[in-house]
This record gives sequence, C-alpha cells and structure tokens, in this order.
Amino acid sequence: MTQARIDNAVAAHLAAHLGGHIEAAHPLSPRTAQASLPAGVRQLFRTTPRSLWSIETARLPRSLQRLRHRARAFAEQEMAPLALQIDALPHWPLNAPPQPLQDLLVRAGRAGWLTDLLPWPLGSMPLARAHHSLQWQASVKVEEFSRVCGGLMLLLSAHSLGIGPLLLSGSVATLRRFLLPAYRETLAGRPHLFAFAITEPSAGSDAEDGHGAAAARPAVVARRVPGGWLLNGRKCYISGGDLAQSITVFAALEVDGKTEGFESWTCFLVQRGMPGFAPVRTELKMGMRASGNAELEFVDVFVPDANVVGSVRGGWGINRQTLNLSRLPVASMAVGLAQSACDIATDFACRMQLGGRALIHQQDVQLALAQMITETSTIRGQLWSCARDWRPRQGVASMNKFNATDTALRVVNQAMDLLGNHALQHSQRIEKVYRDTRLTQIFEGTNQINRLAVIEDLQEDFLRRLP
Amino acid sequence: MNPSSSLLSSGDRIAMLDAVQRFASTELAALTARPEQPMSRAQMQQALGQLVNLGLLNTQAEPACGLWDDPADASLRRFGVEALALLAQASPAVAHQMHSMALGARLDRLHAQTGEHSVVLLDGRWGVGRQALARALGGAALTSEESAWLADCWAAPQAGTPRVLVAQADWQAVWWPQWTPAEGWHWCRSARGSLHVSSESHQHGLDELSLQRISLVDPTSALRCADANGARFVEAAVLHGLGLLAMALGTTQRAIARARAFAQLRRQGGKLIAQHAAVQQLLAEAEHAAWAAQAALTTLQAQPPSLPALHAVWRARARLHPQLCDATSNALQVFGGIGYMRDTGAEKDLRDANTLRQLGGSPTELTLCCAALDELLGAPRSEVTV
Repeated sequence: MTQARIDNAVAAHLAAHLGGHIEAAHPLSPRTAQASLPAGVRQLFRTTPRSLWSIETARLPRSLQRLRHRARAFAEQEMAPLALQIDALPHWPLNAPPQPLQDLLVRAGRAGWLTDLLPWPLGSMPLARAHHSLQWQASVKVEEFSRVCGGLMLLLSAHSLGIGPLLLSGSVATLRRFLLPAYRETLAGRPHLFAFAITEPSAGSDAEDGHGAAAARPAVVARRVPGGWLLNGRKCYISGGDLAQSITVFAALEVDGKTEGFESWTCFLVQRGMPGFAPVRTELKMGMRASGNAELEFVDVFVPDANVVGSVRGGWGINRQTLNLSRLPVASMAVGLAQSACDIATDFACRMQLGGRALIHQQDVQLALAQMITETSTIRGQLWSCARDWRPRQGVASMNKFNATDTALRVVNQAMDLLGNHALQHSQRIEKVYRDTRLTQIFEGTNQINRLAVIEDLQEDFLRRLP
Repeated sequence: MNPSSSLLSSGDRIAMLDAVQRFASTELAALTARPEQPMSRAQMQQALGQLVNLGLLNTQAEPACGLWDDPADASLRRFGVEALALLAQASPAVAHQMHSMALGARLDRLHAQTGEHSVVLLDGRWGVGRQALARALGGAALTSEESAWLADCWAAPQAGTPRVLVAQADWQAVWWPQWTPAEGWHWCRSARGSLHVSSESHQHGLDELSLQRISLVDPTSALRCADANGARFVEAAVLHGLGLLAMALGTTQRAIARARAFAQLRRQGGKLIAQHAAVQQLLAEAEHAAWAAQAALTTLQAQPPSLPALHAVWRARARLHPQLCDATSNALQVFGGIGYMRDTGAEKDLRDANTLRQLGGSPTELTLCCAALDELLGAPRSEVTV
C-alpha cells in the first residue's frame, strides 16, 4: 500500500473510534483540543493522523526515504507472494533451488538490490545516498525485506556479507577484478552471488571471538604452492553457500607442515568451478528456509595468488571488521521481523471478531499492541541512530545486534500470545516469523558472544578503572 | 476421598510410571531418534497401541487406572501428570495425543458412548473466552457483551467460524464444549463423518500431529449432553491445564538434557562450553523454570481429595509456560548455530513448547481469566482449593 493510501485510510476513520477511546471529532479529543490553540502554538505539535511507518520514514534523509519506499514496494510485490509458499516446500536438492527463487534473484538483480554496495556507475547505489553510511542504507533495506520474509531477505542479503571482505581488502584491483564483473552480470539478469565462509565444524563462536580464537585450531588450511595456495578442509553453516558463484573463504596457513592459528587466517576468493571445491550438503533449518545453508568442501583446491583478498595473514582483521559491518544489518533484520509481528498482530486484532466486535477494541489487546509497536520503534531508533556512523564500532554494532534480536523475539512471542491458538497455523504467518527471528539471536555471533564483544571493545576503559 | 481408597496404590503408581519410563526411554525414544523426521502415522499408532497395552488408556465402561480415569482420585491424577511429563520427554506429540484420547475416553464413559476412540477439543474459536469464561464459571452474571463473547467463542463450529484441533489426523470422534446464553454448557460429540475437516499443510510444532479446522456439516448432527453449571467443563479444563503444563515440563527437561550433553562435548575458547559462565547461566535459568513448573505441579497435586482449582491451574500455566519456552530457547542457544538445524532436536523442543503454551488459553488470556476470578473469588493461596 502506498503511503498516500495509508494516510487516506487513516483519515477515513476519523469519525470512528476504538473501544476505550473517543472519536477524533469529539470535543475532548486531542485533535479538537489542538484546533482551539492559537495558530502559532498549533505549529509546535503534530496531531495530523499518520501511520507510524510514515512518521518514522519522515525522520530519514530524503534519499533514504526513497530507498525505504522502494524496498517496501519490491518486498510486497515480489517477495511477499513467495514467502509462505517457499517456506512450506520440502527440502530441495543441493544446487536446485525452486524456480521462483531463481526468478526472484533475477528480478532483484535487475532492480539493483544485489549491487548497491557501490555507487553508480560502479554499482546501483544512487549517488544521492552515497554520503550515507553503508550500514544505514543496508539497515533500511534489510528491515523492509525481512518484514515480509526472513528467508527471502537472507537469500538476498547474505550476498552482501560475502562481498564485505572484498570491500575491506582496500584493493581497487580486487574490486575491479572480481566485484565489478559480478555486478555487471547481476544487473544484466544473471545473478552472481557471493557468500562469506568462516564457520568450521569445530569452530563456530571461536571464529567470531578473539579469546576463543586464541585457543582454537582452525581446520581449513592453505598450503603454499607455486603461483598460489592449496585449500583443504570444510566450512559449515554458510548462508547462501549453495548458490554463490564466489565465496570469501578464510583459511589458516600451513607452514613447514604445521598449521598455524587464527592469526594466520587469510581470505581467499574461491570461485565455483575450481577443481576440488564443492558444496556438499544443505541443512534442514528451523526457519529462514528460503536461504540455503551449506557445508562446503575443499580438497586440494588451487587458489591463485590473485585471489587472495587483502593481505596474506590479514584475514582475521577482515573477518572481524566484516562482522562489525554486518551486525547492524542483523539488528535491522530483527527490526523488520518485529515489525512483521506487529503488523500481523494488528491485522489479526482488526480482523478477528468475537461477539460481533473486533479484538482491537479490547483494552488488553491495545496494551499489547502498544508495547510491541513501542519496542519495535525503540530498536529501530537505536539502530538508525548508530547506523549513521560511517565507522562502526564493534561494541556499538554488537549491542545493537543482541538487544534488537532479543527484543524482536519478545515482540514475536507477544504477537503469538495475541493470536493464541491461531498462532500455530502456518497460514497466519506469525509462527514463521518466530522461526525466522530465532536465528537472529544465533548468527553473526551468538548473543552471548556479542555481549562479550561489547566488553572487549570497552576493555581499555575498564582496565583503566582497575585499582 | 481417602488416599488409601485410591484405585491406584502408591506402589502401583510407581510401578506403572516405571513401565512408562522404560517405554519412553527405549521404544519411544528409538522412534523419535531423528527429530528432523517426525514419526509416521503407523509409528504413532504403534506407540499409542503400546501405551494402551500398558493400561494408560482405559476405554472400558468402568474407571480403572488409566490416564485421567478418575479426576477426584489424587493418586491417579498424580500418575497422569507424571506419566505425561515422562512421555513428553520422548515425544510431546505422543503425550498430547494420549492425553486428548484419555480425556475423550472419560467423556465417553460419563455419557455411555462406546465405539471408536474420541479426542477432545478444549479451545474455543479464539482462545477460551477470556474474562467472560472466568466470570461465567465463577458464577457471575454476564454482561450482554460478555455473553455474546462467550457464546461466539464456544459456539458450534460452522464453516465460517471453524475451531482448530491439534490431534492425530485419523481421529474418529471429537468432544467439543458448547456454551449458549439460554442453555449454558453442553458437551457435544461429533463423529468425523459429520464434520468438515481441513488440515493446515504446516503447523508450528507437534509435527507428528495435525492442525485441523473443523466445522459441522449439519449443525444438528452432534450428540449434546447437558453439563449443569459447567462442572464437567471445569473438570476437563483443569485436567487439560495440568496435562499441558506437565507436557511442557517434560519437553523442557528433554531440551535441557540435550543441551547438557552437548555442553559436555563442545569446546570453545579452549575448554568445554559447559565451563563457560554464559552456558552455565543459560542452563541454570532453564533449570529454574523446570524446577518452578515441577514445584507448581506438585503443589497442585497436594490437595487430595479434591481437584485443583481451575484458577490455580490457570495461574500456574500463565506464569510458567513462558518460562518453559524461554528454557527450551536457552537450551537451543547452548547449541549455537547447530541448534537451529532440525537434526539436533533443540529447535523442535522449542516449537513443541511454544505449541503447548498456546493451547487451552495463551498466557495473556489466562492472566485475564485469573484477574476476573481474583475479583470474584479472591486470589487462591498456596493451599489450593476448588
């Protein structure tokens, strides 16, 4: 629904009122009271009926307002119709995603949603918004996508995570060699997806936490050979790893037959078709089912020197800063999922009637909705405030991530309670939102790891206070 | 009732529980060893058949020692709660189906119905009717709005206003309560053939069961049995509440056990994750919830010979189901990303706990019900009374 239509719909109901409230035309209503004030004073307050979406969109700079409108339109037109259908499909074979997903990727690519990390003419980011941080742009887009479907959002967003190391390599040559051709293919309707591979079967949180990494042994190893490196090992739980053409893979170095630790991590761009590399399986997940989660196998995969992303032994830094870039967008996933819960609960409360009266007229239902909407608005506000910064701090990114995702699950739980026994039905959508939301507390570092990341970032300040 | 006059002596109760435990931890556990592959209908039938053979479901005309056979018998009630918790540790779906069939068998016995097994539907069109239900059961005069609400919630299910049933797909008869302003409570029994039944293709949890919308093909086809003052409704609601809480407890205990086992294997930061405060906290908080639920169920059983007050059962459920869901969520969190994968079972535990939370009234709704009864009757104290 366009904003004008939303506002018209709001205005059309001025004459009515909800249970426990008075109509807008009532002499004691805030709107009538406003009208009695002097014109100059009236300007100090806003009482025009508007949707919360409209109010919050107006707080964004104009270029991000346009982004928010575009993202919502794409999400509702192209993604929403697929959401339940894809979620309910049986687990599909590796490398054989359902045709509607492939079609969606093509449409998203042509529309510029997969190429917007670089400004035009290199990518599809309009120049007008190029002076806003990448995280802020991503947060606005990702919220709208996850609001209609967590899985489809992840299908389109994990790609950006895979590109992160290329951007952080600081190498124009790397961008020119790998990213720009991929962007051109994607815009031409042949989606070239990237994925980010850090997790190993024996190292989940260790790959996201310095203290853990210091004591862990990496299992994907790169050995020097003439002209490049040979990669061996397995990566697991790689979002989008099943469809990606290019994967930023982090491996420890083997020197003199001995595998070094995470401090030797180096990022390699592994491309589909390289001999010895293959996605070997995808996981059956609780939610976010539209996005594949792959285990990747590397058996003597030769990666040329030109495919080293950043510097040799520079992988750990790239990894940590990629996570810092991606944790704010994960917070925005949570915001979108919480907003979805608010919307579903509100729609249900307006639609469901008992005794001839919609649930929305009940005070306890209004209290629940107010709480949900407020909590969602609060995490959105915190996110937008922090995402403005071009230079994300680890602590700020992590606190947003764990707080937003924990809040979102609380909101979704409240929505499920509001729908009651109807919440269990797939067709009501809220149970899917729950399953999708639950992942946000786990990936990009569990929320426990993210709490510790806040402390790690503030460590020097705390140390200074020690006696 | 004097405890010594129970149909089930203490020794028999322990022996039966031992048999249930052995079945749950061996045969049923084997059937549920692959959480990502829910039991087939045939396997469910096999499991239920074995539980019937163990004596858990009594389909005879006289009460025996089956689940929920005699709600006034404290020893039998305790057995019911403990057996459901044990079964839920292996399969909440099997436990729920057995619970529903046992409630159905009791109603069949009370109303002299024989033949096919029945199940019971104890949810209204949306929830259980909020304050209106509590006020009606508390003997208050309902306002016209409350009356309309309750009548709509507990109306005979029609095509446009179906009710949602969670049960094995091939049930043959269902008991459903009806309330009308003129006649009060009735228990209605419908044969499957007299209902339109449509199954939801997917549901949140209890994967082995089916979420079905039911509505009457012919509104006059149901057998209607009067339930003066809703006494049988209260009895069924109490047993349903006890059963749901017991199953949620069992589900949580299983989730905690899974997480503990994993925490003793998985290493992070150079040591077992069980040695990290973050994991210890998650597990201890989960244990708090299980302990509180166990304590509440014990307290609710501690008042022989009478049935626990519905008020107290609602209060326990409203408070504890969210905590038990948080506990299963904590257990999943211990696994990290692995817990999100269906083959670990952690996510299934969470979905099952979430499902049990929403049946028989959500925590929010039960809180409203308690508020209404608090106002009418005063809050129940720890010594639980009817």
